[in-house]
Amino acid sequence: MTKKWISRVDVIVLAVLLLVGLGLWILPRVLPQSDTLIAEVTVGGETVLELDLQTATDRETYPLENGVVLVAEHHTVAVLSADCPDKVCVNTGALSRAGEVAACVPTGTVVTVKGESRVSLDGITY
Amino acid sequence: MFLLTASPISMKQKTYKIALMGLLAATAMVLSYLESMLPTAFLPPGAKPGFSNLANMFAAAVLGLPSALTIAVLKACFAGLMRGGTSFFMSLCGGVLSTFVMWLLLNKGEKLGSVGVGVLSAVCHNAGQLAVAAVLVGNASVLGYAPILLLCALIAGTLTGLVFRAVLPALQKATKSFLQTPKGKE
Repeated sequence: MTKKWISRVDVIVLAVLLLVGLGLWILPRVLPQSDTLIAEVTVGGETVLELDLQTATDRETYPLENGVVLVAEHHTVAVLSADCPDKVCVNTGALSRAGEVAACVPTGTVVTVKGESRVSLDGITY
Repeated sequence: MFLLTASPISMKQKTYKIALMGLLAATAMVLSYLESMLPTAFLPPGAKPGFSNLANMFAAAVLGLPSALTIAVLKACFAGLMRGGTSFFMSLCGGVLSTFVMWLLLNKGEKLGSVGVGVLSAVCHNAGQLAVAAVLVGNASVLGYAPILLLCALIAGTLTGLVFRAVLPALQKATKSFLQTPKGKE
């Protein structure tokens, strides 16, 4: 069995997947950002912490019970340290846009940034 | 009479095949260990080059699906021993899915070249791992890693496909003696 190095179908597959990947990657970066950013922290699917990134300006650390330490500063949130071998969550770096996520699978911790429209009831009365 | 003479040969072939499978599984483990020593600073979180998939790919091409899947399972056990239960499940799901897709495309995807097989199996590897991750953390938002992992899979899969095609003739030559019982050496 000898296969071609690269076939015409391969090029089409690569091109389609590249467009899909680039599209999904670029889309959140060009869409207008919502004013309110909430970092939602879940452990095993349960929400344990919610941080308002709008008010998070000074550096503040949030240690969780499972050994994961979060740090919020300059309207961003990041995983500072975690008791896991891979450190995928730490290497993800600071999250600052809606839809960004840092996950630590061994500890079941997920940090998701959610955007909320400011035109809510609170926003209007404010 | 025929059966009596045939069975030792086929058994011998089977033994050779198992030996080759063991060698490939060992190669896969060494490759994934060497890969874990590479600096990951320039890679996005969670992305890996996936060199060890070369062993799976060769097994899927030459030894067939059961052997290739066995290597994927052994590799997952190795990942589990090295980095814990989470790694076991993620490696298992990604490895089994991508190995199955590899085998399917190598045998049925006549219009695909090596690059296509490498890319599609790499994408499936990441998809399987993300699915397990989503189940393990109970939160589907881990799929936020999907776009960057997809882009990395395109690069890693292309490299795997090219390297696979480059080393295939040499590997086939080197492993020929494992798959054919030498004549006159009963």
